[in-house]
Amino acid sequence: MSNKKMITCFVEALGISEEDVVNTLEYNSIPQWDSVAHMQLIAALEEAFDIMLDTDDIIDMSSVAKARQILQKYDIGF
Amino acid sequence: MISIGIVSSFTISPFVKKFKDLCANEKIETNVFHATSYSLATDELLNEKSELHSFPPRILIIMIDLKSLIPDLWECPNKNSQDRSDLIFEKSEFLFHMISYYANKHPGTMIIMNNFEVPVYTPLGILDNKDDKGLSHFVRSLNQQLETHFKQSNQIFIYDFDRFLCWHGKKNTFDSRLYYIADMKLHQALYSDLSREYMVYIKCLIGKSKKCLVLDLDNTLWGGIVGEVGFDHIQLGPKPPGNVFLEVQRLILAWYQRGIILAINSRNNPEDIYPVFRKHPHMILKEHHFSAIRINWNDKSENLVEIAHELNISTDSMVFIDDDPYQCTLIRSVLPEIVTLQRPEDISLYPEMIMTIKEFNTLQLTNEDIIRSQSYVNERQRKTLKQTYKNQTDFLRSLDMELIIRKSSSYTLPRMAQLTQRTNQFNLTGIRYSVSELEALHQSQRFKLFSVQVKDKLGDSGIVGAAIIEINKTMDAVLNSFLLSCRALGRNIEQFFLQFIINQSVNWDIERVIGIYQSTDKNMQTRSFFSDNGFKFLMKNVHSTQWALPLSDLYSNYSFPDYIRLTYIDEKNT
Repeated sequence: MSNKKMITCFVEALGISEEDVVNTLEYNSIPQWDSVAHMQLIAALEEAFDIMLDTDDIIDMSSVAKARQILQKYDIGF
Repeated sequence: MISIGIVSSFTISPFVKKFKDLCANEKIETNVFHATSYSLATDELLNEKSELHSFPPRILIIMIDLKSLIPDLWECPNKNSQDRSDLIFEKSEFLFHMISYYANKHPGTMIIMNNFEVPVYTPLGILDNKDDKGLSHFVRSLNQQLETHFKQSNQIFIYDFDRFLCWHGKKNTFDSRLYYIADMKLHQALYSDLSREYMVYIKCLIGKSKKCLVLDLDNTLWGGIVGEVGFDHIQLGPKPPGNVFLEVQRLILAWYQRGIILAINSRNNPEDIYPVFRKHPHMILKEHHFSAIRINWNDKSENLVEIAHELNISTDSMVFIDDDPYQCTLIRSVLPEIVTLQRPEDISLYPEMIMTIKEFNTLQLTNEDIIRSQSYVNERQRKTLKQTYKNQTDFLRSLDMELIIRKSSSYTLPRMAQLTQRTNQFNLTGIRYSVSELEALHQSQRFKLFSVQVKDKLGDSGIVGAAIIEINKTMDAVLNSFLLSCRALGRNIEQFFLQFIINQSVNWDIERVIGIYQSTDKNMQTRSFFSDNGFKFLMKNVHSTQWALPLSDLYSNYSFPDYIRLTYIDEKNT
């Protein structure tokens, strides 16, 4: 459930397809995931999970795997 | 299709997307190019090989933020005064040079440049305004210099971005996370609002400004229904809620003074209403401020169409305010081209609604704007007068008309550009020009530009017509634009103006005068203008026809009727 929600956020904010959202996908590794898209991703995640991310966590969120790990810190179960 | 360039010193791509969407919503086709980063922005403006130079846009928006221009901003107050003034001088000179350089190379591009945000923080704290070291003072004087430098320019407009930020509250316009992580200096929530601010310029440029404000009366100009509560009990005066209506009337009067035509559309008994206008001690708007008045029990949409007809304007140049949701819905569905605004339920929000109407903006304020409202009143008198004469000639003779035709000069160009932007009905080609574009034509040997001003015994209508003629290589004088304001129609001025041009053309070393009729949504009435004036059909395209008048066909110069006084002014010779 949470995983699906998170993937949807990636798909919509970065404009990529679901298959592309794999654990190893990294920030700035594809043109679609630049700093502006990153902030759109953050906005999408905050809205979807009703949380407020710390700036450190936003900067840390450098891959899909990392995103899942950080979201867990905010009591989101996967 | 309007091409728009945006250069900014910070990340703005999500804004650009919003801006494009808004243009699409307004059915304005745009092609938006943007460059974001300080070095890219300056390079685009200064490098002649850049895309911005190769494809100059119609409108160029420049957004440069203070921190990009002056990275060590917080140190400014502690510099010695010589260093500080050197810094202001250096930075402002650089900006002036960069913008003027681009503007001079591309006179067809209108430039909108944001001014700088006055920071809310200063290292000097409460001492910031104690001497001229203050940071606020520093930024304000930079803004002041920008304004002063471009005040006279018809091509470069300084957009008061700082005021925009103040309106929304600077605390709300800045998102620290967006700024530090993605270099986005403006909160995303404000993108739509900022887009609408730039849209004002675009709409002015493409001739979509509104000209006329039509008002309901009960609960719109005063509180209460005068037919029910009576003259003494309407809400209008210093006490709340009458003070809100007082403020609204003052705001509307200020628009009248800058040339917005006012009209009334109210379902009422006239005998209940006129005493309010004539005797109520707190009425600020008087009968003479209104160019057309409909107080009756007819359908309000029919009244609106009649008012448009009476004023010789089209319904799409009107804004209508009413308090009744039913009427507003009705007008919106029957006449969607009219901007219909419903007075807010909460009366205290009413003045703000008036203040945020942007539709009346224009790119120039001319002498004609100031006298416009009065000239509609004159026109009403002229129509009454016309009915007392059996034929047109007797009517014209009675008017004691004077036509003043001028060869273009810096004095007439702003008004001529405004006429091309605003005139829809009697406009043979419908081509819109900015002042800077007209300036370029005015400088060119190939073009001849004329304006016509008309005065008669009822008043001075100001400059009401313009003609742009291109002398082309095949020895033709082509009427690229020929137009007359709707206020001046019905007095044969268009015919006299055309004949004047034909008389002049014999001195231009040409063989033919060519007239072009390019059909638009609204200029049907002009389609036979050239044939009516002796031109012969030449050729036809999808939307246009061309007409020719060989000068060899002319036996002699047209002589003007004795009841017209014609004055020709060529500024160069005076």
